Amino acid sequence: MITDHKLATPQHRLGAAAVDAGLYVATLGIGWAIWNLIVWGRGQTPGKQLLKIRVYGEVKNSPANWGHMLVRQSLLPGALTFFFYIPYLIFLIGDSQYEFSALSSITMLLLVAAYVAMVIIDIVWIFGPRRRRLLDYLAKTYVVNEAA
Amino acid sequence: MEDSSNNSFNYASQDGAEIASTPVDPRASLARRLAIIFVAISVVLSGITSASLLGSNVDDYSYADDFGTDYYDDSATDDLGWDSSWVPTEFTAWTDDSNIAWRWADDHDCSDYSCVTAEFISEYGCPSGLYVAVNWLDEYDNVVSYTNESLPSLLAMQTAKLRFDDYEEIGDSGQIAEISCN
Repeated sequence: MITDHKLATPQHRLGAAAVDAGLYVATLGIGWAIWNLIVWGRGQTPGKQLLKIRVYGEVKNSPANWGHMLVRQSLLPGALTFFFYIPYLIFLIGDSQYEFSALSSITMLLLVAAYVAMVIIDIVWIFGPRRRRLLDYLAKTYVVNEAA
Repeated sequence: MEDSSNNSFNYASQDGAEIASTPVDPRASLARRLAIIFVAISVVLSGITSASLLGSNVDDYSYADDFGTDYYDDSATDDLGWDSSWVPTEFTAWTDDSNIAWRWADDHDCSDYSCVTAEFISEYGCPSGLYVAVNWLDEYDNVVSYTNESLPSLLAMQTAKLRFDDYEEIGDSGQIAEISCN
């Protein structure tokens, strides 16, 4: 058996996500980001490190390396949500030069709805038998509980 | 194989041999399909939203320059950084075109209607014509009507004196709304 750790439970993973969110706020994002860059090399985020869970790569069945974590934590979510943020950027950069019409308001709401649906699917899948988020499947990762 | 009884992940093996034989998980392909569908939907919705936003660009409507609302008010415009050294005394450079300046004329003869008269001068001339519109304002400064006048051309530094009649007699004051020198 390559890894004999138990899969991290949904509660454990959501707890780690909550810790990450708390650390992000507490450190104004900066400390959390730096911490991330350090522990990514061990397949962890600050929250995962504190709660002793770790991301493993599906192919090698070993802790995800820094590059794999970069893909999982940043590039994939960034690619998935890139187009979601474009209207916001146009609106913000436009500095009141542009305004939402009825059409753009509706399409923006639909875009938000699609985004929320994606997030819900992503979270709900953690409760599945394999305890993998949608993002885990895309990044070919799973998360184990090393404390167990 | 995933052991559902203890949730441990066992990708290997029998007899100590490591077998990276991940069970086929239908969610793996479903995840890819969902991601593609989500990105496609995002592209379409984002494109429509962005195009609609960009199309809503609020034009810099040429509001009547805020010179006041009296017939004879010729307050100065703000300094926009243009070279207005050519502008004759008592004339004011038009805010939207530094090539043209104007002033209310003191002498005017409104025979049948209320009217205002203004003079216009251009540094380089308006060979293709000069167009001027005046908004008529009521006592609360609401625009209630307008009058326009035009000339086929105006030479450089030549003065044009135009009279604007309030044919409907509904305005309390006039305001230069547009000057177009072509």
